[in-house]
Amino acid sequence: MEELGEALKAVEKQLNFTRKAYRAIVYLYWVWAITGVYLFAQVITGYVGVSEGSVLQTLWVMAILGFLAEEKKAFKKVLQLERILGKIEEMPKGYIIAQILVWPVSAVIASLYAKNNGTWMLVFIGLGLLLLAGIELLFTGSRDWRTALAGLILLCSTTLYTGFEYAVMVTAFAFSLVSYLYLKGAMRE
Amino acid sequence: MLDKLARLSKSPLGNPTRLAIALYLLSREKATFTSLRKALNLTPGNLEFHLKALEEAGIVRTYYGFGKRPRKFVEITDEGVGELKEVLEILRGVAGD
Repeated sequence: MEELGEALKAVEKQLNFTRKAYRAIVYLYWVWAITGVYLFAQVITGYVGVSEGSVLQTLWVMAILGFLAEEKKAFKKVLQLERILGKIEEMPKGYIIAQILVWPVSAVIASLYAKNNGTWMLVFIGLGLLLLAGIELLFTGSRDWRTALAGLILLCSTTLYTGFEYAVMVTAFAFSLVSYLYLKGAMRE
Repeated sequence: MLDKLARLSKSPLGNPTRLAIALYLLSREKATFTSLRKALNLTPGNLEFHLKALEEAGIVRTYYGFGKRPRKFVEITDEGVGELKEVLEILRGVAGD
């Protein structure tokens, strides 16, 4: 019986690590996607001579579509693992709707306050992450301080804004920090 | 205790190999037949036998994907996750008794 108990604890530990890794992968996606979109846009406009605006628009659409596909898989897996680990018994009503609504709400608020594309991106993502952390607390009771921290970093960074490159760098920094914290936390448990 | 063991014996995941298959698949989006076979050190015939039983019970889903050559993929279903949760709870109870 003791061996069975130990084996079950080891399984739980492994599943919890996997859950956190799936949470981190979403942020890691944006670390390479945001920097990749910016870098690729520079290369295309520099060597092909297409306008930066249209290239950026196409690349953003591609990055978002890729993210939705990635997020769908990761979200399903996280929910399955949380069910097994007893963190969520049933999907709370309105949880997914609230998570989706965060982004149009953030976009509207960012459009009201941002003066250019870079600050719009920082406010949009920063506010979105803060709201996501709030929704997590409200619906599941879990304190996702890592996501909230990324949101705060992005929002606070708008005061020192110097250009779109700065916004790309800060976003990549915040996202890589959160994924690092997720994985570090998972390894410590 | 006896009730729990009776429920466990009736479950499609009551067999240790099938339980290991479900746990392996739970951590992954999907697994290829070959990776699953290698990870659990099973023969193709043995794995095929267990997968057939799990698929009939609705625990896993198998399908073919095409790349350089057709590959068989396996993934756990939501029903499978529910059953796995119950089995793990029973085992936790047994370990705690």
